[in-house]
Amino acid sequence: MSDLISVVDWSRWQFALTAMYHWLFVPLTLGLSVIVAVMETIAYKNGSEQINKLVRFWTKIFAVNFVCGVATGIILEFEFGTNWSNYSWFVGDIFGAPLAIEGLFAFFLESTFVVVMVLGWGRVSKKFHLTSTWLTAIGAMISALWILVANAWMQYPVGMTFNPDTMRNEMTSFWSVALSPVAINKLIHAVTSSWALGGIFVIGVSCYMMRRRRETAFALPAVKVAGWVGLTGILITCMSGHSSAVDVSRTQPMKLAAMEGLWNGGNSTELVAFGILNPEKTYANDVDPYKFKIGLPGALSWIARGDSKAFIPGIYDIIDGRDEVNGEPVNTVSYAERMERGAAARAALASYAETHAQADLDALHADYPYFGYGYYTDAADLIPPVGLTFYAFHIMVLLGGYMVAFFVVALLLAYRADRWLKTLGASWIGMLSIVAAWCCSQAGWICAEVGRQPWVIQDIMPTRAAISALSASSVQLTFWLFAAVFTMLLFAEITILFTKVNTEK
Amino acid sequence: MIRRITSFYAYALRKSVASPTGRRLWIVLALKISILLILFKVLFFPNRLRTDYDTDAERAGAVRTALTSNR
Repeated sequence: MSDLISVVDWSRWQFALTAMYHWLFVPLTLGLSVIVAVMETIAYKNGSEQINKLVRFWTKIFAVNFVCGVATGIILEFEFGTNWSNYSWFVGDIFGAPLAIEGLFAFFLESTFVVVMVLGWGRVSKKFHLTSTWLTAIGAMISALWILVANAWMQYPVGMTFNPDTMRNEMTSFWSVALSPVAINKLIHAVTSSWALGGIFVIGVSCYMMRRRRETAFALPAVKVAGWVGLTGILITCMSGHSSAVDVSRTQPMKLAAMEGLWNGGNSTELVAFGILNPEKTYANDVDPYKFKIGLPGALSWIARGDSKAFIPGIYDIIDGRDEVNGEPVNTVSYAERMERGAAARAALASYAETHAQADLDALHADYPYFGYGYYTDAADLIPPVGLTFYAFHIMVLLGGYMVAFFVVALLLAYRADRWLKTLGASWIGMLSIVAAWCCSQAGWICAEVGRQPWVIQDIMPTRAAISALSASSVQLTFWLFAAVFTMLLFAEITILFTKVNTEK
Repeated sequence: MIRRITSFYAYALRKSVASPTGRRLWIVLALKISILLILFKVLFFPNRLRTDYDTDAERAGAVRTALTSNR
């Protein structure tokens, strides 16, 4: 068992490392493509040579990032086949369709037109070039859509039925999978937050250029365009974050409780604006969960359920099957019952393999929604890492709030007092804000993925059942190989990017 | 039409290797593909179910055993 846990942990570390490395490039691709497309549209409309130069410069930066990001996501698919083979087989049918569409359509669209966007200047008409730039941006968004659809299904599995003969979840409704509210909110949240990240990147680099290279006339329009795109992006991100919180309270209440460090729920639950958790708090003791906190009374109830007096269940309430909406009890199945029913579902699956009896099939389907709970006998093992989820969520929210203020101030300065943007302070704030934007984006994913533990598919498959029969040492070896290769590649890529920013005429 | 498209992509390839940044990016891309996609895939990342079993029925059986065993 300890070797199994070790394999699971190392495989999770490896997947996190790969996904986080991949996510360094994806949001910048999503953000920069839209910013460049908006710049080029302005240049096309007013024929400004100044903006045209700007478009060409940022297209080159986009190209560097695009090439650096290429193929970093494919490694995740390798890991599915090697480390997570049970999971891979179990979801093959559901994942196959979105990932095939992503590969065939979206990536093809993106890759075809990115060449025209980057190298087509003077070889194609301005109109076709502009169309190619927009199609590259749209292609990147469609790529993101299908990956996020697949991820959302893991958080909220819908539109499928389990076939015990093939041991696969088979899609019964493509549209239920593609248009699940979790997928839509995830798409909006991830894409628009990437516009904000792209906006901060452009503003940060522009401030650096104004300070270092004294190129105000060149860089200032970029601050304005990136400021508007980024502000639009971050405001939509805030709104979709609210919708996501409503989804999470409905579909993954344990994650919401972990995000807030909420062990005991209640009515008029506060939102922790700032807090330090007590590391001694566990499921088995009743020490105060917080060392310190500043809360906004009733805010969590309002955000999650639209009523500042609504009941929000804490970790203990969820485990005990205690929750209510408008005074009516909901989600009343306790974790003890879920574990019992999950074990019954697993036993029915084993029995069905021997007998192929209808009674076993019926028993399996009746308890299948709790299948994953059958791997546990202690409810404490079903609680996600509260500390990591709590801090990741609060870092994301704090930095998201900072980004709103950043764009407002950047736009005010760009229009009213641009001399401040040329100062050393602005250059430093701009560069540090780029780092903050990436931390915000990564923290969001940490919150989403750690907060749903122990599930790889919510309620149905825990990470420990998803893993292949591997030795921990083989996963450790590939983890360190990846870490070394990624570090070298990242160093090379950042060097290329800095050289381009510093030398590009 | 196809000729024009082919000639455009050939031109794009030539142009991309003409600049130092373009060449560096091609090197990064080539390294990435050879190390990550070829070397790692072949040596460290076999698709276990595909390599260990011959038929889908056997693969389903292996997953069933894994999911119903005590883990």
